[in-house]
Amino acid sequence: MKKNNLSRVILGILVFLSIIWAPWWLTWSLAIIFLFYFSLYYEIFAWGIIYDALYGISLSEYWNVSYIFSIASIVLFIISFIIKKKLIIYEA
Amino acid sequence: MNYELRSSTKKNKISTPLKITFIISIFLIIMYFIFPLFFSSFITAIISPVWKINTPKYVNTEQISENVKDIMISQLKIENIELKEIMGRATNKNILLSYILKKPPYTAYDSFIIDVGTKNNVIKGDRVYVLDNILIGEIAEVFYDTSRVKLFSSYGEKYDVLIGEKNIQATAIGRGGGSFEAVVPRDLKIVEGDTVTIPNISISIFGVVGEVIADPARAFSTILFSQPINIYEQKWVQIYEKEQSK
Repeated sequence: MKKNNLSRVILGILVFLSIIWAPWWLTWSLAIIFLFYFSLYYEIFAWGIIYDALYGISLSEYWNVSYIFSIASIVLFIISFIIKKKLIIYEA
Repeated sequence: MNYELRSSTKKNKISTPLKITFIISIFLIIMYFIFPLFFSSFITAIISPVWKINTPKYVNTEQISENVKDIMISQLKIENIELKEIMGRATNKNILLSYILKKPPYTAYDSFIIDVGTKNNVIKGDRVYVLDNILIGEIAEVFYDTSRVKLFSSYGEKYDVLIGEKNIQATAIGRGGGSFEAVVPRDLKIVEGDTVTIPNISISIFGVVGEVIADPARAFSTILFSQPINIYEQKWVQIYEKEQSK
């Protein structure tokens, strides 16, 4: 296994464990950091789905949508993709 | 004059990551509409066992130092007092005592996750109380051995309430963290300390008026009230069946 893939798996496990045991802001801070650290961080979709599956509830605060973090993960991925295209630091 | 030849290869307008995102979005929309609880049931069933309270059946007290023993005894005393307080006040035999597994800030949704579910006959809509008579929420989702409690004070949630001794009816709007606001005509005599209840559940306390904001220029005053306990400091909740709510 390549070093990058190994670190990706380990950091993935870290985020997964933080979903179960850590405060929500820590989980999503890690997810956003990794979104910019890795070139294409598709795992964020899984974190959104798992988070909503575990904690999701329809509240007026979130427009009665119980899968707000799934939507947020898709939006974050698209935003990061657009930003990365604009920044020279991400050029190969 | 020379012109640059137009390339015969078509440019790929949508990149692969965006295509993948689009496919995942469509998949999620289909799943949420056709099987809305598929992911919840599946993932909760896998993860809920790791949330369970660890209650060791046997503790070798000889191996524990005196200091740790004292700490354990004091913790057990506190828990004993809490449970006695909860169960001592209970008058209804059909209450179900439940432990709170997760609460804010561990969940971004303003909700509790508790350790009872369909195996304990909990159903959606059951009322959730703290200290026997303080209504804090209702069951929103039920799984086999866990449930999600929607807190009444969640931001933007609206409920009909009765304020004060004269039972003035108003609509309470949740402001989060156990706080509410209600707008009533300014002439109504509502004062700080008045109790707030829910229609048909008159025995249980919903909140206590903390502040009345009355502007002489306006015909209405804003009533700010909060629940008499800090909902995030609780460890146990009680569940009453929907029909048998007090």
